Amino acid sequence: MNNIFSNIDAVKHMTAAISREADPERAYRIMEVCGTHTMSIARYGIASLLPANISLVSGPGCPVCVTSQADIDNSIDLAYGAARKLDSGAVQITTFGDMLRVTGSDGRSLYNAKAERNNVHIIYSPLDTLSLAKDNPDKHYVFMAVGFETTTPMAAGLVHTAAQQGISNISVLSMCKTMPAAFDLLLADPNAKIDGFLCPGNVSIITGSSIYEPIVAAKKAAAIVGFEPMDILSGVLEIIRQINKNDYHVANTYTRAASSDGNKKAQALTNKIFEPCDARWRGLGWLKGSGMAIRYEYMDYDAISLYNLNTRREEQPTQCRCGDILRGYIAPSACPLFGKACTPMTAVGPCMVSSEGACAAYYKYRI
Amino acid sequence: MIHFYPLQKLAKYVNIERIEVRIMCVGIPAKIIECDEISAIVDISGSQREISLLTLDAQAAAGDWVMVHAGFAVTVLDPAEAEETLQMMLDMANE
Repeated sequence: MNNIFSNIDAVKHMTAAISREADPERAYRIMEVCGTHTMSIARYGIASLLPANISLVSGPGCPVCVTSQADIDNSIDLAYGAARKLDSGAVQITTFGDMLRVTGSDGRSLYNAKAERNNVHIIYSPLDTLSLAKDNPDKHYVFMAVGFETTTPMAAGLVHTAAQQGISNISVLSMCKTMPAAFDLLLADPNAKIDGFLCPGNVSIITGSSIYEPIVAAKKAAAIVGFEPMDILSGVLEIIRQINKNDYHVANTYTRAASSDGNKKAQALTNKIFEPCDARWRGLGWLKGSGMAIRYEYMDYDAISLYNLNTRREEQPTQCRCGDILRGYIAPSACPLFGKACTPMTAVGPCMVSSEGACAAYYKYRI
Repeated sequence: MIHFYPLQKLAKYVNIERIEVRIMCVGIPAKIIECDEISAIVDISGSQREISLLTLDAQAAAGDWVMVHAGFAVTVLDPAEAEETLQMMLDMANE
């Protein structure tokens, strides 16, 4: 591979420095918050390059994985026309592909709806919804918005553009979330025992580095890193140094894309369309102010009010342990369903479905 | 045979394999072919598509590389900065 950030000599140089500096007398538990990091770490076998006393733990940073069962059930109901106030034939769903195979409480998924009703469209950009809606004015398109700070501006861009162009047959089902409340929960959780966080570079491109301040205020290490092996390893080295010196600050080794202020234009677009609300996370429960709801001024584009969806509906308990995995309590292989009842083709929980889920990464790379 | 012609230059800095996997959280580097205030036509590994510049916080012109996220440019990429970052990381390991 000719990518300079996965150059073998550079990687050896970096892992040597990590082995030299890691204190063999203590254990280091480092959480990679983002699903893309989980995937990179598994793919490049990064855990095997590190001394045994450094463990990497997956966190709640895959948007599909943290989407609550209630929200999944709502989106599947919408696709099947079960929600109230629906002329069911007219409702069309647009979604990122990762959402398709997540199963609802009744065992159905958007994938089933796509096969049975042909009303689910996989898109790459939320804006792809616009051309579908323009071409089919008699149908109503609902975009399934999942994502963190990185992806919320794109859902906002859809509402903004639809409003500007006067397109009325579009709405957004917002399941968007923000990271700070999840960090607070993990920092306050005595069972998680995390010493440092690899912070997602893609989120930082939008938010800047300030959202990680509570981590260092709680005396935990933090490094903003990109997604190549050298990015991740330099973050690990930085975190080990902060822990050894007991000197905590938000380090940034992803300066080629993320600045300290973030992207103000994207932040302004998000704030124009969305406002914070409480949100339910899989495995973490209700977190105050961690969701993004569409503002009152744009309620015509809000699928939750348009279709009167109940975001507080009850959830059925299952054997799936995605919740414990998202909190860093257990590794995917410790779940009784892993690789048996639950595989990527017959996924029970979202961590196995999403291409960025911890279970999918562990399964694919046989960790 | 698969041609990644326009990306070869940036291949040193960005993992090309990732471009095939269009999952939502992964940014894709793209080269601007032409652009106006709000949108641009970009080249992504040989295929062209329209992207939005609604979320781009900087001026971009034809020929610039941008990181594209779900069809929106989010930042301008600087290949020189990538070289510097790697050197910084190697220096860090030497400390």
